[in-house]
Amino acid sequence: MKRALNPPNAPKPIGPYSSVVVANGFIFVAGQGPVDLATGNLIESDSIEDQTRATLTHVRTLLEATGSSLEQVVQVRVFLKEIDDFGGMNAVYKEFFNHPAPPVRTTIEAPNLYGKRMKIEIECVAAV
Amino acid sequence: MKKAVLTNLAPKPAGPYSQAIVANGFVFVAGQIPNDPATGKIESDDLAAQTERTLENVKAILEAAGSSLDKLVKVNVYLTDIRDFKAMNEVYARYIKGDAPPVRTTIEMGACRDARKIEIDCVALA
Repeated sequence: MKRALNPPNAPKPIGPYSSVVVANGFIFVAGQGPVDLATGNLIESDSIEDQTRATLTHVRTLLEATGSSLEQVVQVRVFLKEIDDFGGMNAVYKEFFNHPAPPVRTTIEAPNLYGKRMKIEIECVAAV
Repeated sequence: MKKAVLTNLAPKPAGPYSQAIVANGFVFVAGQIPNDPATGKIESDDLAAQTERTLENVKAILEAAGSSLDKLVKVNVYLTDIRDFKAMNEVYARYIKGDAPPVRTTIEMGACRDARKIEIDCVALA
């Protein structure tokens, strides 16, 4: 059994995919970016800190829409347009994932994210 | 419920993340790199040697979690140069055997912060 959600207080999917799918005890969150909910476009800031914060805020909103939370995340993938942003991303990431047993993570450079100014995209899996 | 795994037989995490998390019957392993856990460094520029070291790290973490390479269900391989696919595959085949090998996705990634040519993350049965 699976259940899909596209909560209105998070970015709308930009293709035939769900924002979140809940299945067999896990919550799968689609790749999120630093979207400004008011405009539907990327946030104005080009700072990696601001973009990371906006992105993780959407991840948190999506998890909470299913009744889950950041503390239940088990796996994260971070895609950076430039790997040199690793330090800036990590600093903000720590503000969100500061609990014991943080999720596993893979961070790789993806040179061409969808959206020219987009510096970060994050996907994750949480346990229900 | 989830449980974090930490072994000194694999590189220390490079940020606020766990080496592995066990949850709901699965083991999730963080992206592993070709660093030697004894020295903390990448000891070879050779792709085959780097693949071997990376898979040794994966193996150590899975075993620390009570799992093993045989129980892998999904693997993602990231290469800095997709032309290394064949060389990676040859080493991979020495580690991943049996009738039901895990699914795998291999993609080219961009630049890295060090000399690594490969990174691998995976999910296994607990």
